[in-house]
Amino acid sequence: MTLYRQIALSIILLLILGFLGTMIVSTSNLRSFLVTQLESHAQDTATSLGLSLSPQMQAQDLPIMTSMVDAIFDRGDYSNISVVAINGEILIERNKPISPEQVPVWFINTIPLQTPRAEALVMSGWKQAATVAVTSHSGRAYNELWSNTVDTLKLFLASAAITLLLGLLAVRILLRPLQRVEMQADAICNQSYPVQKKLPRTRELKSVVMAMNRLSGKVHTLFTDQAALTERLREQAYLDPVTGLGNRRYFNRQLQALLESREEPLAGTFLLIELRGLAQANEKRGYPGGDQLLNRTGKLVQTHVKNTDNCFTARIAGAGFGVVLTGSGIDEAELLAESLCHDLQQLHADGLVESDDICNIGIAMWKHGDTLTGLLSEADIALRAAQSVGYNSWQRYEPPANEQTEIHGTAHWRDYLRSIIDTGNISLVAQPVYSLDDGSESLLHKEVLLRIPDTDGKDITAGIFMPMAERAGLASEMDKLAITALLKHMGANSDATDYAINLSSTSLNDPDFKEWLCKTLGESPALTKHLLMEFPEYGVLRNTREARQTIARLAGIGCRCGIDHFGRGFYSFGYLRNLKVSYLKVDGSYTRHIEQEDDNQFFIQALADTAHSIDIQVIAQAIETVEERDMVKGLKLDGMQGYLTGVPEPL
Amino acid sequence: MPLSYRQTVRFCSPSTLLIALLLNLLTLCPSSAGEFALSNKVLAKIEKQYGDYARLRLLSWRNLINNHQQLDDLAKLEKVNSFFNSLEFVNDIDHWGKEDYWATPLQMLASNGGDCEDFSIAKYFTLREMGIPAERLRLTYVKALKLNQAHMVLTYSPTTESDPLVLDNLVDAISSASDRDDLLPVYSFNGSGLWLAKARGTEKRVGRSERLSRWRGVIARIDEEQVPLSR
Repeated sequence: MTLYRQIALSIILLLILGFLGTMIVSTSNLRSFLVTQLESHAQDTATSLGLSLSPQMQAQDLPIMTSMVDAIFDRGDYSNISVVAINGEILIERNKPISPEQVPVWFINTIPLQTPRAEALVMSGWKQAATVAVTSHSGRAYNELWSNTVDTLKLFLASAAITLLLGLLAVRILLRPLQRVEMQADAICNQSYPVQKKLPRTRELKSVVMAMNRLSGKVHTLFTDQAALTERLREQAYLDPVTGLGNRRYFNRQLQALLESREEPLAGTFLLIELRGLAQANEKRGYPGGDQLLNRTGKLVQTHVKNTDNCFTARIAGAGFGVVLTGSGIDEAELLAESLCHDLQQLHADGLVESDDICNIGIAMWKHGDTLTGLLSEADIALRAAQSVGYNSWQRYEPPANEQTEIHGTAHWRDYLRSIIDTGNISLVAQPVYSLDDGSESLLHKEVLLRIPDTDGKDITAGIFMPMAERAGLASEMDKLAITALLKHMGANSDATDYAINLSSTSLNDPDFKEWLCKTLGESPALTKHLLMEFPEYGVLRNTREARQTIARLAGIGCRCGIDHFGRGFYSFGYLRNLKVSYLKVDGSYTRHIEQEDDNQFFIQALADTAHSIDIQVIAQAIETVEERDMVKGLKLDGMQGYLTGVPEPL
Repeated sequence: MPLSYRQTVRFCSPSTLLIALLLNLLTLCPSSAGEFALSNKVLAKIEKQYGDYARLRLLSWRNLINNHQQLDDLAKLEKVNSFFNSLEFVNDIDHWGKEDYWATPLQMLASNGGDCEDFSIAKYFTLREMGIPAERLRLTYVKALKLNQAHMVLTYSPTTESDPLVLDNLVDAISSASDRDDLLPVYSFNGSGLWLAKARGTEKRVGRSERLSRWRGVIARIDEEQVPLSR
């Protein structure tokens, strides 16, 4: 029952009780008073009559006596006046029945008014000759009682109405802060932390509101504090403090993961940059000077790759930097090397480097299956070649002739992909993602991956062709193809499985694509509610506000979202707070051999706590051993996917 | 407390005095159940206020009531009439300082005087206490022809038809009404008309005795005195 109803009922009940009580008391009192009045009225009349009649009695003048009785009877309210002689003979009698018109009969029957009968002597000289008896009429008394009852009832009804209105109004006003508290609580659950500025005056409500405000503030900082801790843990392990880039460990980890990634066999290029003037800078200006040089170099490199997706940079040695580009062609790498060599000369112009021998760059290509050491040595060979060529130059590693693989340029890819789009010649595979909850091990969803056939009919993985598609501006078309095919498949097989599909970062920032997506999903709501959209982390970070709006829009049509490859870059987690994604998939680089890596364990655990505090699930990728699975389960992650539990299989 | 009261011998007839002196010795005897009794507290209070003779008078009154229960009506009438007529007639204004103050029997005896209403009331209650039924007694308002003023007497009739006997303080002896041609009867009240409330079913003591009608006032004051007189 609502508070309003409770209060209304209480008020009504109290007023009814009050009314009844008052009615009973006042009726009883009034009745006593009226009876007393009737009594004394009757007695006084009897006495007066007796007095007046006595001389006439002595004179035996009955007519005069009768006239006297009439005079009194007609004038006043009597129900009976009778004169009875000593011997019992009725000498005079007058009667008036009781019939008060305005008073209902049930009322008269409920409240009996005993009309008393008063007597007085009628003397004849010294002797008593008769008795005169007078009974008052109760009619007027009943009228009094009745109007008393009616007036009291009216008064109470009016009071009830007013009290009820005022009471309910007061409750409504008083409870408004509570409504706001409720909204505050809901907001906190939805990861926003409002604070009520206006405090209510009622003391109890005021303290509730203040407590709520404190809670909101506390939870707010809780996430921020936790996120900061998690980031610090990661930085400690993986950040190079001088340049702000990843350190060698980070580099090794990331690259290793790329080279070994089985779900998405990848390929790309690697730039090894050597900074030549470091030793000199250290000598001339000490370590601060050297640090300054390193810092500027790092910033410069970062600026160059700022707008490139799928790439990471790191400081891999005292004077060595590495840039790894995934899915890029050789020409892109060469362009980057050229522009870096050119721009790094600014360091000399700015006086950070004495000589104009500033840097050298070696380029090598990598693909899935290569070893880290192999790649590094290839890049090193290229670097030595560059050094022998001259100051600030770059060279590419040329593999021996028999190992040369076909290197396709962007134009080739564009045409090829165009043809794929036109023919729709794609296939989908799916890898299961399982829950890590104790005991359940149920299927959370299946991640759908795109494959296209190459000229030999073998499947090319999305890891290879999607970066090409992005550079060719065809990523959105490919995404459309994939989503359409998936929806078709889901429509044909109506099982209750959830499917996750990846969106490229281009699509994420393309308004036309998003319109198409919302429209298409809106047309089949039954399928949409089993759909999960995955965005790559760097795609989200490109324009966090856009991403937030897109996620909200998709949520509106019933489609959930997740973040893929979380943690690949060194980004702060703050953006997670308002994003409202359902889950994030931790980059495989963090969970490789996690049972041996303490730092990763700390980081992952802190990440899990942080994400859970804002209702985001954390899923591990690329789990290949039982040890890895057991460890991530122990670190409270919510799900896992990997070759251990399922390989991608055709839909 | 009366303005003037006389503590002197001049208060009663010889016979009454004799009885009083004799019966003084019997004050120590406890009264049996059913008898009229005056508590020591009442006596002590009266003695303190009005003096020893007042106390004596009260004791005489008590003994008067208790010792003559077995007499017939006429004898009782005689005793009571002469007992009270020995007291002095004093106007209220002289006696109490107020107009029309109706004294209780106790007050009358203690103060050794009263006016016609006081006499009649005192006699009425005493006779009632001695067992005379209320129907036989009447308090009658009369005109005293010789004095040409209003007066009150007590009348007794064994039956309603009989000629009543008049107990008066103007005349010492009891005579029948027909003989008293110096009195003109105006109106009479019986006890039920005045004091008996049982016909009405409820009796509520309302208000202080000064504010009640005279009849009810005197009853209230009798009760206040804690003198257990029957109505």
